[in-house]
Amino acid sequence: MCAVSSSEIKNVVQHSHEGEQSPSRLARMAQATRHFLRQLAQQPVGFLAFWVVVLYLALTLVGSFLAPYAFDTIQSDPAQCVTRANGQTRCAALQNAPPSAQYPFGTDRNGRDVFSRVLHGARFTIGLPIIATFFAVSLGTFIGLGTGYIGGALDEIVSRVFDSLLSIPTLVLALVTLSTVVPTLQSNANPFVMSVGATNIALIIVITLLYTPIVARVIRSATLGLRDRGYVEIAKLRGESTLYILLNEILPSVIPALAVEASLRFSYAIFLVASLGFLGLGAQPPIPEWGRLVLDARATASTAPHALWFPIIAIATLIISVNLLSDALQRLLRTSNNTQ
Amino acid sequence: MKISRQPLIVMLTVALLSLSAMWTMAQETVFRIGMVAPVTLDPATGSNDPEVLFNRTIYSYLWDVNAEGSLVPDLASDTTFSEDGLTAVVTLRDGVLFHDGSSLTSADVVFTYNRLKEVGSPALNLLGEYEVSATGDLEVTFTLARPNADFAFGLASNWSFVIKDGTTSPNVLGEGDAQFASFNGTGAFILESYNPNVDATFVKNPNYWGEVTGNVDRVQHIYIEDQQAQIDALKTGAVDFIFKVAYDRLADLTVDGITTIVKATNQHPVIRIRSDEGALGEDVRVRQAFKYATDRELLNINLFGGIATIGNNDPIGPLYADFYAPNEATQEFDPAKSCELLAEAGYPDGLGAETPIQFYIDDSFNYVQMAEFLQQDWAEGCINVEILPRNPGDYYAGADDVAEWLNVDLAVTGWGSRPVPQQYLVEAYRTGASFNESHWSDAELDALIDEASQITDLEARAAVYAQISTIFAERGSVIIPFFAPIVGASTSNISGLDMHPFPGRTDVRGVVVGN
Repeated sequence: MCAVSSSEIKNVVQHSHEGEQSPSRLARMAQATRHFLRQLAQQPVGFLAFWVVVLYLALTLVGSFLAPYAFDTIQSDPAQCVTRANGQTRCAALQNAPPSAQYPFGTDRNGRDVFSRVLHGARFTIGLPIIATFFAVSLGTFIGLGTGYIGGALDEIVSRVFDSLLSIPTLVLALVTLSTVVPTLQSNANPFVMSVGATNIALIIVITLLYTPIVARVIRSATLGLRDRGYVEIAKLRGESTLYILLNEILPSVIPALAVEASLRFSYAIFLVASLGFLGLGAQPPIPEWGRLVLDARATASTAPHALWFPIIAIATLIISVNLLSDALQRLLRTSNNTQ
Repeated sequence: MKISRQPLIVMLTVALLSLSAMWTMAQETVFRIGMVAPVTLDPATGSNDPEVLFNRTIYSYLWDVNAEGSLVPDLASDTTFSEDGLTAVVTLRDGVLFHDGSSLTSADVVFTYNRLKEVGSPALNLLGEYEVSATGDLEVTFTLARPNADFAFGLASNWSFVIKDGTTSPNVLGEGDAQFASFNGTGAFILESYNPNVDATFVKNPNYWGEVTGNVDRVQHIYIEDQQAQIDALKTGAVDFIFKVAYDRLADLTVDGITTIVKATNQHPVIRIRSDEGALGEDVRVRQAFKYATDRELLNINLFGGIATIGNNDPIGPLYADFYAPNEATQEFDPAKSCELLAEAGYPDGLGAETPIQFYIDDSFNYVQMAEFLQQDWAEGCINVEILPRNPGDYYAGADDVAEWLNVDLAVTGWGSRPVPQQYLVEAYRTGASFNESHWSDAELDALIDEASQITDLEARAAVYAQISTIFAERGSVIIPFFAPIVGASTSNISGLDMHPFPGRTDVRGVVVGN
């Protein structure tokens, strides 16, 4: 900590009370947001990526309503119908139909409309990472602020634990965690678990476990650079609690770094969920999570490539857009810091 | 500058030797099979295709079952049964050597068959109760507790490999030069190297007693878990043969340079509903509801283009032409009837209305795709399920009291082809059978299974099997939606390969590599 003379403190406290040195949290956040959006508009690629991400986020909310069919509805092939002794007629599935006006992305190997499945799938492929990233970022921010500000033995212990976790390859840790957590959750048959889905809960746990240390490390670094700032010292002199200082004095200043980190973690979370789905460890059939769609369509890649390409395009455009947006945010932050 | 000649000569010698070794290797014919890795190597207990194929390459049986399902002598030169059917005398071939150079004697056979009993091998399901003794250097006598019409098939079962007398722990890796000492068989190939989960290489046995019509010098098993990776390996020439390919991959394999093999088998998925006290299917009306809610006809069209054979609810399939006949009691798709039965059984809102029933799937072949169709069919029949695909390794792993396939309420298990229908009945449906995964117990069925085991007359046996088939339809705990053809593929430069209906029993002695 830096040494501050009592006259300096008195002077700063006076300024602080006048609102010049420590603007209100909301005002700082609003100002920063306005600033970032204005700057973002000046970066065409970042701005386009922003709108693509917004579009996908909108699909997460309303995709299911826009889809012409339910994700598991099997379309009938009128050319292959069976009439039974009781007079009932039932038709086989319209499997691997190419894209058409009725089925814009074609049908899959089970005769389901790929367009509807991609739209429904946004909820799982994007929604789950949003929730999981929220948990990871919240927890990571809380731990990062705490360890960075308090320091000492607590910081040492937490940092070493996180270093250990980070030394394990992401996919390996995810696979091990999923293979142990999912069967445990499934065997318990808890109503909450059953309603949310054991795999969904396990994926949220995995992503939180994987990304909390990374977020915490970034926030800790930012906090280390802020904890000796004058307005923090002033808050201490005012007798504010540690929690108050962390939330009201330090957190607003780490928001830009947090935004970049959160967007990065979000894109990695999407990638991880899709990868695990592709490996058969994520969403279970018939849930149309995009990685799972790619896995299912792989068997018919040569005969029905459309079932493979559309979910791949959806995953790719989303991840690229989130990354481009993240890059744009980073550039803005750097420019902003340089200007200051 | 003076150059010393000595290092130059050494380098040239090494280079020549290397070229010579490469030339020798290039001349050898290697037959490479891509498959999932075996887990249980013990010949008395290893059950799935890779495990049986591993052992089949090293060991021999007394009797074998060929790809057509017929019994053919292997190490036995002759077998005679007594009039009362209670004694079988097996005469062994003379001059058979184990890989360690020792001769095959009756003591080896006695040790093998006593060990099958000690370890509780699944072979006992067909062999029944017996005593075995050596009645000569090359003669073994089996004394049966009761007549057993399928005893010869028991001698040829997947687990009845003859091992060396005293080998209490066969197929366990040792140290140093003795690394493969316990992999000591009389088969056409000797284990040369084994890297668990990676590969195994077998070299031609120079002292093999039988006839080898092919030209294979080495057999290599390359372990590839993922089916698409297996297909890619075949297409790129990294392996020569793969088997148990999902039917919907057939189109992917219809390319130049690949020969596909589609064979009618008795292989079938078993949709089984656990039926003991307190389990999901304890009430027979629940079991029947599942049957009425399953559209077998459309499953056949959707999954196989209609070329599979629709099942009867029992494992007696079309491969057993003497015993198989469509059963009138087999339920036609009638979802309304399913809902009605469930309402009667105390499920007015259907089964799994609040929380879906967990439906475990052995993730082999196209079973997950089948489960997705079933989920839709069953929903119409007031049955709500959640699909839980399981890697076969996990699904079948663990002790009997924890293995998922033997314990969960609702599941799909894959059953490979067997030479006789009796084998399925005694392995999986008799009360207390080792693989009775549905925990179904029916005294009348048990009595009929026992009765069938003693009948040698085909017509009389078919009549008993017809009764068994009706019991399965009326109160059985399983649905056999279809009997599937099995698909394999090889590179086009392979000939003489006759894939067995149980691919792990495929005989590679006649394989010719190269045109």
